[in-house]
Formats: sequence, structure tokens, C-alpha cells
Amino acid sequence: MDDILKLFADFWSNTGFAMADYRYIFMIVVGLIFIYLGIAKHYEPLLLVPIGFGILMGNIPVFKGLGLAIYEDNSVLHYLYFGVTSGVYPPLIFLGIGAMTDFSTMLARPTLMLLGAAAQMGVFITFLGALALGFSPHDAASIGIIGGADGPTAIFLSAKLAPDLIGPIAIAAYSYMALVPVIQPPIMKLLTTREERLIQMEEPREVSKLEKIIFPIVGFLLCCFLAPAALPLLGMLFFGNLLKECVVAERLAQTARTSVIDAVTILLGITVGASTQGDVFLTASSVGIFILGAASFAVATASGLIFAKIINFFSTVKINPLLGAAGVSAVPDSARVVQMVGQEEDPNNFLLMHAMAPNVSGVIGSAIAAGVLWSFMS
Amino acid sequence: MYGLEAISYHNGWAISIVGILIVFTGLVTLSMVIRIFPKIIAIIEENGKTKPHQKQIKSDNQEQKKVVPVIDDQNKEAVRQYQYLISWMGEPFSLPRLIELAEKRGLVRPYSTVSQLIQSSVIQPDGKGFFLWHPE
Repeated sequence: MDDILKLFADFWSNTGFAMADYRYIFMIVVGLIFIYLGIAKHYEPLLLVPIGFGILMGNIPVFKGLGLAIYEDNSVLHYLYFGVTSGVYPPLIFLGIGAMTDFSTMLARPTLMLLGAAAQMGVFITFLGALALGFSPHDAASIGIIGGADGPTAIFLSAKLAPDLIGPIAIAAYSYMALVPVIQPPIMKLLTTREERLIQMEEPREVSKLEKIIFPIVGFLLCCFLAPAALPLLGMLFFGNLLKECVVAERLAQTARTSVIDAVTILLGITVGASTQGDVFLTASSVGIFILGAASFAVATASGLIFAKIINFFSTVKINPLLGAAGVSAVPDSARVVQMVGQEEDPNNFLLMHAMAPNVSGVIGSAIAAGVLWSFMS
Repeated sequence: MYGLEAISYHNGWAISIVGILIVFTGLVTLSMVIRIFPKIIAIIEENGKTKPHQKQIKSDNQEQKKVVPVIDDQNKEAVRQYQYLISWMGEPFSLPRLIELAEKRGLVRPYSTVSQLIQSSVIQPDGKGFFLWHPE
């Protein structure tokens, strides 16, 4: 009888119920919130559902030494997580993004690219804020890139500079990307007048096929000669776009924008979620990262808006300053938010197409910013 | 180390200023290059001009393509529905607005239908960013 009771006691001590502490429970609640936001509120469901479920997976308390947890060598999750820590997944996601993105509006109106550059101010201002709060330069650079509003870029840079912070940085970046429709509108309304929000944009000129084919080649050469450290991200982005535009490689483009990006998103989401193991994730620095991440997003949005107003001050052809908010590279959510806020004032004002220009240039800008920070830190 | 002291110690000001300048330089240069794309393409096309008789044959073919709108029976109903929408909107009309109205009215696959109508020259650009219903 004693043996049976002892076996039960041993079994009980190895269950998640016995090993759980408040940190695991807290993170499971966070995971459930992510899943709820993804499914019920449709906030970036393709990201939040895998990340949310990954958080649940990472916070099941497991017996150490069996090779189950993500931070244990030889665990399956650890192998899958290698794609994150080695920086393999982000360039593959960029390949898919490139194969999906239509740069036409940007090519038709290149001035709008400056808004994508202006929004990267958020990255560098947050970098300063993180240094001021006592983070090391490597950590500060990785935290700053959250302001680029680009999850893969944030993961890529933190994998290179601050591998210990990948979990909190990735979760902060994707959370704020999902919350773009909540974070951006108040800032947009605060920094623009009704008259400015009513400005209608001219229809962009038609862009020829040849321009679309030349752009990824020229863009790649130019950006990577300027910031070679951005090569893995921009190389794949422009390559994906060339596959799309050249037409003759449509099968490859189709694979890149469907199978490849979907498979990598699943692996990235689930492993980043699982990396938020309560005892590793819930630290004071994680709280600091979340606060700085929110500030970074707000500053990036404000920088784009203010820069658009500066352009209007000097230019005779006015642009709707709301487009500045799309400079953060949360594609296409921030462009959708611009459309939504613009249509609140005038239902006949269609800004979506125009907002895609700063939006996609923001992707290029944040990758350059990441490359620059990486090269400075190494 | 915290605050401004930490920023100065880690060379934060210089990194930030140079960093943002590089990002701007990259995108400004790219935007300037993009701006001259149409001119470069015009030069390329000028150099690669086909012989006059070939050009004539090509333009004849293009002309032929333009004047023969490909409207099958399935599209005829779509043509009628979109003609009604456009007469309600007035001409010239904005394409996004047309698609939005079509979506609101529950017309099937508005993007692909409008694209087919453009390819069939039923909807034609007016050269000023708006579109016109084919006069015939």
C-alpha cells in the first residue's frame, strides 16, 4: 500500500499542477488573451493565434532534464527555436513579404518614401531611452527596433545582439503590431487637424511592368551597398519581389508567398510564444521592454505624422499627413488604420492605396535601421 | 549607469544621429533613383525601337486588340450591373469607389470583374487618374 501511495505521490510531484507557480499561470492567462484577441477581435490572427498557443506550450511546467522545455538542449522545441536564435526565420518571412508586396504606389510617388524613413526616428529615440534606463547598448538597439513595427526585423536583430531578450522583444513587437488599430488612431487625431485629415490624394500615375522589375534589383543593390548588414533581410525581400514581378518565376513567387511564409510563420509564432516560459520571461527587464516598446511605437507614429506636416509646409502639392502614420512598417495594418481614420472624416476619401507607399518603404527603412544598428554594435 | 550619462558614455547620441541619417540617405537616394526610372525606361525603349514595318504590324495588332472587347455571356450581366452603378456615380469615376460600391451591393468578385472589364476596354482610363465607361 505504501508503495502505491509513494508512486502516486511521485506522479503528483511531476505533474504540472504540483510544479506550477504564479508566473506560469500568469503567462497562460496572457496566452489565452492572445488567442482571444486573434480569434474574437481579429487582431493579426495569423500571428496571435500561433504565438498565444506557443505561450501555452511554453508555460506547461515540465520536469527538468527530460528534454521537454524550449530552453533545454535536445528538446524538440529547442531545435525549432534554432530558426529564431540563428536568425533563419526572419529572412524567409521577408522572402514571402517581398513576393506579396506591390511597390506600385511607392514607385508612382517616391516622395512618400520619406515618411517611411521618418517613422524610423522611433527606433533611434527608443534606443536612447533604453540606454538611459540602464540597458546595455546591444539590448538597447534590440529594444529600439521594436519601433520599426516589424516583428521579423526585431527578432533578427535581437537574435544577433541580445539573444536573451528575443522572447520579450518578439512578444512586445507582435503585440504592438496587433494593437496598431488601438495605439495609432489617438496619436493621429491628436497631431492632425480635421482639415488636414480631409486632404484628398491624387490618383497615382500608372507604373510600367519594366519599372516594377527594375526596382527590386536597383533597390537591393543601393540599400545593401549602403547598409550591408541589412543584406539577409533586404536581399530576401527584394528577391521575393523580383520573383513576383518578373512573371516568368510565378511558381516560385507563389510558393514564397504561400507555403514558405505560412510554414515559417507557424514555426516562428509557436516557438516565440513558447520562449516566454514564466520563470525566464517575467523579469523587470521584460516590463521595461514592454514600456519602451509602446513608447517606440508612439514616437514612430508621431514622427511620420510630423514629417508629413513638414513636407506640406514646404510643398505646394499637399499630402494627407495621416499617411505619415503608415511609415511604421506594420504591413498592411497601419495603412488600413490610415484609411479608417481618413474615412471617419470623409467617407469618400480613399487613402489605403496611398498609405501603402510609406508602409512598404517603412519595411525597407526598418531593415536598413536594423542593419545600421547591427553594424555599429559589432 | 542611467540617464544622459549612460547615453553619452555609450556614444548614444552619435549612433542615433548617424543611424537616422543613414536611413534617410538610403531612402532619399532610392526615391531619387525611382524618380528617374521612367526617363531611363524611355531611353531604353528609344534605343530598342523596332523597324518601322514591324512597328506598324505591332501597333496594328494592338489596335485590333483594343477595339475587340472580350465580353462573354457571363460578363454581360456584370456589365449591366456595373453600368448601372457607374450611371449612378457619374463619370469620370474613381475605381476604388466603384469597387467599394460593388462590395457594398454584394456583387460577386468585384476586383476580378472590374479587372476583366478594364481588360475588355469596357472601362477605360481617362488619363487623369479616373475612369470612363466605354462609350459604345
